[in-house]
Amino acid sequence: MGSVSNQKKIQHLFSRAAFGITPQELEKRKKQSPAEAVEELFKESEHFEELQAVSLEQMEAMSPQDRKDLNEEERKKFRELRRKSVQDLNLTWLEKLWKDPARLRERMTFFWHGHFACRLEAPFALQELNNIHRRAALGSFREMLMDVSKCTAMLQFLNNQQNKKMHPNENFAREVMELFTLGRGNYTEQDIKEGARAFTGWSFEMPSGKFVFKANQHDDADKTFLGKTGNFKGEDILEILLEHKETALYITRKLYKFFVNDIEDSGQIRELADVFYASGYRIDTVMKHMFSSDWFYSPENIGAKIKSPVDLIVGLNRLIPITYDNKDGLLLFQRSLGQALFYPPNVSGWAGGKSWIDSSSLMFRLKTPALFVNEGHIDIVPKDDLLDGKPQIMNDSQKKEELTGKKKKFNPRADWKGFLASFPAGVSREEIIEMILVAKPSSALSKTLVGFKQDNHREFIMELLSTPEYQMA
Amino acid sequence: MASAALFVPSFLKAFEKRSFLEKAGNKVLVIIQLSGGNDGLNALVPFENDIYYNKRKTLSVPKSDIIRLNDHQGMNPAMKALQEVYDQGWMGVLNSVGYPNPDRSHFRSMDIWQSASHSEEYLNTGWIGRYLDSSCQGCGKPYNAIEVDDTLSLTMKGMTQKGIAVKDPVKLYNATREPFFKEMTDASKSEMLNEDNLGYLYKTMIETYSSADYIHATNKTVDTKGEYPNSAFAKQLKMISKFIQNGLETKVYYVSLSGFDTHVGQKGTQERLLKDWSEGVAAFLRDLKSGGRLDDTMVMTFSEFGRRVEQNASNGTDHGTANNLYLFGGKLKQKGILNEAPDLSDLDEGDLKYKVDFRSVYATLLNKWLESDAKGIIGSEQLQMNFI
Repeated sequence: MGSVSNQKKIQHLFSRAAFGITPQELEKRKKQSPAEAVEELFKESEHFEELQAVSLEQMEAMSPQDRKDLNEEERKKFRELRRKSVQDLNLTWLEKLWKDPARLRERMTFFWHGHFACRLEAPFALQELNNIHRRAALGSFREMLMDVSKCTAMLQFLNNQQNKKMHPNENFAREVMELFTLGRGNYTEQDIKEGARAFTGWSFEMPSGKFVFKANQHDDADKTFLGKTGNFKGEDILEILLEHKETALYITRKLYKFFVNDIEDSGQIRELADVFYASGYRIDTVMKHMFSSDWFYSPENIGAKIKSPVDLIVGLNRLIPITYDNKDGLLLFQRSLGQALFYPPNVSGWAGGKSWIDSSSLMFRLKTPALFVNEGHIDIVPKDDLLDGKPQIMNDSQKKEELTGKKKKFNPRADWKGFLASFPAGVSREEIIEMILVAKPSSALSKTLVGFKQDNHREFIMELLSTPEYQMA
Repeated sequence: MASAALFVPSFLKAFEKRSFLEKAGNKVLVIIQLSGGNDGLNALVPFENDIYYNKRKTLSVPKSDIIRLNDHQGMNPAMKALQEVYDQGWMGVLNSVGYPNPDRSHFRSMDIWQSASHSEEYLNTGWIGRYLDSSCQGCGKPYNAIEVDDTLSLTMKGMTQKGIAVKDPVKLYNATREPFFKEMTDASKSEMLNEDNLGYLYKTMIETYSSADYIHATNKTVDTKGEYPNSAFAKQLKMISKFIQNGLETKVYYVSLSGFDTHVGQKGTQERLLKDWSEGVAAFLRDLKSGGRLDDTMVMTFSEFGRRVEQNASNGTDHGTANNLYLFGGKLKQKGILNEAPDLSDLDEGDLKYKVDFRSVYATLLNKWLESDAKGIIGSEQLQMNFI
């Protein structure tokens, strides 16, 4: 096992903390210490812009006051408006992920988006939740947890998502404990029941969606939760959950799997959990610690993770500037690859890792870069995304048409000229490989590349982008 | 650096236990998924039940139109292609199939059916994927389970083994012959593959290449002679029939038909879909019969939930719970309507109560048809049923 060059460390850092790094920027930073680069990444993210795809006016236009007066046609129209609006939200955020200078913050927001997974046909509420993630992305997890638990999207989603006859708050309590804080196995059913009692009265007013505490609906008596007894309110339950070190472990385990390696190192995770807990759940502190640890830059972590679909799409767009005539095709890609922003499969988010890959998806993934930067033709039809209420009666060609747009085609145009010019003069083949691929080329690939006869760099880079190695981060 | 080979030396293969894949012989399971929540009450109609007509004043199927199967239930006329199938004894229907604490959201309920989980569990694998995992440690092939689609459903994804999604075997073959892909695959075949993620990608690439090869090479001998309707769905069944008749070592096929989420103006849409489904299935079974493979084939049709008993204000129905499940094949031990019609007077807030847990249907298919062991594939203990 060789040692890792400084350039590789920098490339690895940006691959994990941002969505990759251009050859141009890598050339500038290759002599920089990782510690310095980490500082700059944090500084870069101090200032940020909120996601603003849906305005308040638009929201009000989509959410009529008197639903009872509407007939089914009108109701359908509003549902369509909301559906389209969530799609706009998706495309706006996707673009923000590759354009926004606050790279680390957007990356963290993406992580929290999967952790606090929420699926709802309420674009304004989803946007609000997304901005809560962004605001607290590198701040206080305590604040994040409070704000997320009280936001419209989560209250609606968790109270209704299983649409069961159970008491709605029991579901809310369960998901908060199982998925957001402690994780399974660290509480009893009785704890859920007691926790649920403390959350009674948590509601939101319509149509603004603002959180409101309905005192007359609140269960005022004593509760016994995780061994403590008292007249707890919802906020108290969240505090107790944070008091348990298990919450810090649960979160850092997830952070580790997302940012470091699918395979857990319990010692390193415990180290992160200790730091996280001791800091009072400061996200910036634990992330700085992670990015500053020697083990983060260890060879077995470099290029070891399979990119998520969003990673793949955003990484490509950060690498080579691409313009589109019609961005709807980006939705088609997300769905075909198995991950679409704002459409998590369920409350537990996306499984990640090897689950992205099967025989069919791998073939498509290997082709995806060419489709983006070599103006290829999309020929895959994703499964129906069964959002309630939408009749799915289109055949395949209709689906393709709707998703890629007949009149304004996807038409991605990559700026190859600019991209090739950004490489240092006289760059060698080996250097290009180092800059494009984070993962070390396999012996199979090295064999293939040696025999590669093409003269021009564009063809060569195209082939690099089509390798399994490029699928790794 | 860890560098364990991912292939098993051939001399060791002789000592392996016979896998389930081999034990099941030529038996094949075809799963048809009706996506959106098919309204079972309007498909298999309880025509003797006044409640049905009272709750569906405009949406009910007129009594005189119904193709009666027994004294209590009959088919929607759109399903007339199945009458012959029924009469031949190739059809079995289970009423009131569902699960406890039903979920009425599409993606959640579909996940539950595909992963065979409890309604509060979130599994990342599907029941057929786990069947592949259990049936052959490390020697299974993706083509042992084929889904006719561009992307693979959760059903077909196991922890270590996954099926393969093939919409067009020729396209797949050509895709794997593209120069760079072929070169990389050839180069990696002779290399030792790591067990890490990159190694997994290369392993998957090699498997895809060989699956495409295998399907292409094997799918040549027999061409199906049967007449099929001219629909995309029927063509997919025709493709499956060809695979079966050419003797592909595929144990499970998966295909879906979508559009059943009929909240508004149900009649026309559902009739069209039921017709597409029935005619496709009938043609498929006849084709297999003439090819001598009907006795080896079992078809299961399901939907992620049924719909509410009472129609809504838009001449449609909303998401419900329990539903019918259809079984087709040449070797059904029990034929026809296998249990009681749903009790419309004993509802759960307007929804049908389940009487048969869908996981016991799965377990029966796994144990008796695929000769596998449902324990370890389906998490909980399930009753064995007797339709096979």
